[in-house]
Amino acid sequence: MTLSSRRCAAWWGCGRVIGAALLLAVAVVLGGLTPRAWAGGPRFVTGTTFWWAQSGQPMPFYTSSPTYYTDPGDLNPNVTHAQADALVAAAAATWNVPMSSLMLTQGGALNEHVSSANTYFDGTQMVFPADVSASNAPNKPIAVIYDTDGSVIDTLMGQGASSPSGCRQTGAVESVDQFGEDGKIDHALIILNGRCVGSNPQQLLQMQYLVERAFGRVLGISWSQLNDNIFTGASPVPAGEIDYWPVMHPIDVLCSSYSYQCMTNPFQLRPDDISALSFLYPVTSSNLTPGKVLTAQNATYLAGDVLFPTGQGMAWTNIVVIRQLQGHASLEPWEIASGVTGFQYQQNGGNPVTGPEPDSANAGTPWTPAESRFTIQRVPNDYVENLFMVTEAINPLYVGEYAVGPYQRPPAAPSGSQRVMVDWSAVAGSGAYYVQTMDDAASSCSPGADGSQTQPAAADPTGWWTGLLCSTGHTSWWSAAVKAGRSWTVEVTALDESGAATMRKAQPVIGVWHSGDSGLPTVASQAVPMNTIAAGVTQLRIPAATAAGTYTLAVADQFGAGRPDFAYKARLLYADSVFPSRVSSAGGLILIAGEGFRQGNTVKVNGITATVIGWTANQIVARTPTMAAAGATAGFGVDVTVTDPATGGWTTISSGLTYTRAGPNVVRLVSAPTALVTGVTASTALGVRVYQTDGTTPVVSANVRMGVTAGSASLGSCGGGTSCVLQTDATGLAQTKVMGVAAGAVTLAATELTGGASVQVNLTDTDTQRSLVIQNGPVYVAAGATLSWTLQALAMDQGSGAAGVPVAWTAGQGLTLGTGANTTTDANGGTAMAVGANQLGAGSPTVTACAWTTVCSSWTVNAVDASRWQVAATTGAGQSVRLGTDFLPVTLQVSDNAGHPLQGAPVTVYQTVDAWEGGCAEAGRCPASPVLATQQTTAITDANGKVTITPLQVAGIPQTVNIVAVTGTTGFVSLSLVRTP
Amino acid sequence: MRQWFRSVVLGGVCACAAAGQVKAQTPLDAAAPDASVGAALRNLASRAGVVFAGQVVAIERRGGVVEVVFRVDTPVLGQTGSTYTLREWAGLWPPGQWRYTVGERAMVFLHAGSPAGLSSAVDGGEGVVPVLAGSDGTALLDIRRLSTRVLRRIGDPLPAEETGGITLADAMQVVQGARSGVAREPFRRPIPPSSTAPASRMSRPARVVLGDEGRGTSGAESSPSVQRGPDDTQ
Repeated sequence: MTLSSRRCAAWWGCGRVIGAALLLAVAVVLGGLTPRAWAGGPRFVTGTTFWWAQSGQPMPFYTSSPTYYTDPGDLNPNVTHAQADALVAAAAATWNVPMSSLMLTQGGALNEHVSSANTYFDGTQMVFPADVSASNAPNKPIAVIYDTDGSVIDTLMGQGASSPSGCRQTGAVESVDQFGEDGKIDHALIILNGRCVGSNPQQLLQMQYLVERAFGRVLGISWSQLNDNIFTGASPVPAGEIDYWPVMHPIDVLCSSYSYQCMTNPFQLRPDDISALSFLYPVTSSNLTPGKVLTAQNATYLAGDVLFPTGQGMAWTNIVVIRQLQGHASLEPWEIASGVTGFQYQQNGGNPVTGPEPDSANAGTPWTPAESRFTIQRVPNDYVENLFMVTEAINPLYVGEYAVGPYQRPPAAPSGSQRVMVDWSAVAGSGAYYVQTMDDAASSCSPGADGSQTQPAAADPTGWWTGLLCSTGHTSWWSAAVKAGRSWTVEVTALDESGAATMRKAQPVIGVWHSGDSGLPTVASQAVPMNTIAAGVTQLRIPAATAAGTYTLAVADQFGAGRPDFAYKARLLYADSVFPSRVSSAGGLILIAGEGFRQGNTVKVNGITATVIGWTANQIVARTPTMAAAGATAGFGVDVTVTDPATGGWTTISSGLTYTRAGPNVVRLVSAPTALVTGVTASTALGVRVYQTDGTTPVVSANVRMGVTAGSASLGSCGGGTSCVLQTDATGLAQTKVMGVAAGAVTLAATELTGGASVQVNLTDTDTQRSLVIQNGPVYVAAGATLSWTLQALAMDQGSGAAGVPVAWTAGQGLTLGTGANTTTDANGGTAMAVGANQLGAGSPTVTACAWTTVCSSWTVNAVDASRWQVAATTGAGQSVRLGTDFLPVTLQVSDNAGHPLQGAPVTVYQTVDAWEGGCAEAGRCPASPVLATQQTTAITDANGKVTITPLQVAGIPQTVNIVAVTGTTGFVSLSLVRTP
Repeated sequence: MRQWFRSVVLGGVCACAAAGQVKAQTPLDAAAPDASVGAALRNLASRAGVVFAGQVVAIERRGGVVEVVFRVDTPVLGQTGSTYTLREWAGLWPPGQWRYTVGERAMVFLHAGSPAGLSSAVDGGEGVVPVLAGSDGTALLDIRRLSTRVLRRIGDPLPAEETGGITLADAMQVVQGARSGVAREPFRRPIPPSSTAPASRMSRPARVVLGDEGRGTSGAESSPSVQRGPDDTQ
């Protein structure tokens, strides 16, 4: 028997698990040991704070032969005591099956008929007759009360609770009211509502069905999710599936007035019920009695773990088993048994906000491997079969009193997609243990640097940040500074794997302490998760304090859980200051600095809505109402409040704003540039002067918002930014230098904040100071030539080389660029680009380079058709030398018909050397000269359109060298060189 | 008596054979299924002493009583203040079992208190109808649990997310109308996915064919590591 090495590496408790599984498997198969119960289906598991020796243990009744005692009275006038006893006996008998050691039988009768006459509330406890109460557990472990007139149920559950209209819920009321020190159930009550039955047999059968399920509960069996499509209708119900819908399904389907009619064989346990029952009350070789069979007989035991990729267990996952019987080609169309993961794990670990969990919530073990564990005690198996274990989410309706397993919290949705584990060829009497990692589940358990209580991390300055509650018990700790007189709000939104708000993952709670405090929260706490109507949002509002302080914030899961899919988004909604703090009675613009702002936030001044002009996470600009509209009094501070209507969160600066009685100030333009040049700071500043209402008295220290409201420019007094608030000097002047940033229209505005008076200046930015020049001149080449060039470009900005400027190159048809199409200018503003042409056709393609997007330069290649080529000798023509002297080279140049030298033109040269014959006679034929040598060569013109020819010569002989050069279709030149004796 | 009981059981068997079919016979004192969600709300309201929408803010066990403290957001029927404390018999709260959780938001229909001062939700969990936020922030009742009170055949679907909600305002009108004899049906609305788990009704694994030795193949499942029981060693 082996376990994967990966599994062992991830688990510190691996050895224990293997050992437990082996022990269990052996015990089950051999029946020779009492198995340590590790199966699913228990309603209760032991916790850690009571006297129980071991936590996480399922809790059956203290004996496998519990007896019940019935009320000696009649159930009602129509159902006698004997009839009622028969009904109860039939319901109890359902649970006595061979595969379980349980023997539930009637032990006798209670001492008295129980009614409201002998059942009462003493101000602290419900008081039942002595033999009915839990203190009599050793003698009468289960008391069955016949509440003839419903008065007991009404006393316990409220007026009208026994109404026949509610019989499906209150027809049989069960209560497990005492546990023993050994972690077992000691005592329970079942109360039959006499108002729910008459003489109609269907009513009696309905009551029997209710009592049957009540017995299941008091025996310690949980509700079970199996073949849940019968309940949900989410998929068609195949024939026969209902035979496998467990009696302990959480919620009935109402196909008639009697829910028992909505099951086939309602008084017969299903394999899933037997699996749960035999887990709590197994038959082993040590307790095998006549009429019983070993639980392991004709069955397979399954267990395993469902894990996140991190190795952490994924609790709250339902596991259903589907069989493929031997010799059958397909699976059974129903599920046969089920279990849930993490049923043994601690259900509530407490948290720093509310403290340790109460004793009444202490259930399960903190042993972390239990978080992943599921077990299914008994899958029927006659010989051999394939078993498919399928993961699924728990139906969200199964919470509270309908919870499956011993779960206390609303089950978190599983992470990742559904998985199937297969036990191939499972043999009857065997057991198997599986590990399934949900590969596509949330895969990080790193909560980031969220600090500790003693060293909390600083909250993000924007007021928005995200975090992760992982692993179990993890708490995020943050710190924030808050000024006096500011109320503020902390919000935490639970997120799912996609980042969407959810109610099905973490249940966040929030605590706030003064920095350095310990213990439970000393400032405020929100122990109620998701207390706002906004999905997944837990909110804590903290009132204003009289002194500034630094606070520690904690975010935790309500139940102390933590896992990779417990992400959250936190927000600190806090208004820190108002600027300016005084506005005129006419109102004005204010800037609220703070954190956690977002679109849709509203601003109120003294409770009256202000108009929000703009926002960022840290600023809100708003126009205040007039003093009259705000109901404010000049000279007295009023509150400024920012509210988020989406969550109801708010933050208030107490007395943050004061209205003044004076009228609005006046703003006049003093100076402004007439135009802007890109990259140049205008010599004339933008200057305004603020006057009081009288228009003549300058206002000192008035707040003026300088801003670029259209186009692009930077303001020198704003640190090169586009907006800031300046204060006027002693003359009421506020001014700033302005620099053009980009060509185009630019609008500048100066606004006095208290009254909102404003001036505006419209300018045009021109960009005349930038240039880019390709320094190579245009070239003329012969069509068909293959050539390359290196272009040099120079970018200039305001007369100097512009360094670091990106230059984009493009090439016309027939031209290619070097590596990449972009270059960057060097320190001198220069840059280069290689350009190539391969057998370039006739035409004039160009290469264009652009900097600053719009500043461009082009370079042209003129490829001249061969019909326009001309050739001429530029040097060496007409040479005449004496014998013994060599000819000098001859240079030819090819050009177009406009005289442009052509590069790349092929020139064919024919040379013939004739013997020198002297001059012709005055009469007669010229002497014939013998040909001494001939030659044909080809050359390509260079960048200047030239080729150089070395004359063909014959040594020691007077001679005439005839040279003919041809290029293109019509280019031709001939010349002769003479060497005389 | 034994003869009588046998007849009762036989009657049950006959009834079982007709399982899945809607029964026309409804005794006067039976808790007949409701005809609709609106009827379910009216039924609950007719038997409630107090109805409000709120949120559980604290749960405390005090002797033989468990106090469930609600913040009352919307009073509907009966007397409530800004908070309401439901006092339940602790026998309904065995250790480790929680009928409510702190943070639970619901429209609750509560019986009037007994002389002992104890009460409970009408029809248990059915009288605690979850309240959540719709996509536009409107308070919605998640009526999927409530819908289980409505007559339906086996396999008939419960409301899906698209029709699983009604507005709290609509529900209030239905509830308050019930007291004045006005019967109307609330308009169904979608509930946001944030409140729901993935509908994970499994798709069955691919068809499996057993070989001579009983081992099959399947392309649908992922094979986890396996630790077989003693059958491997036998």
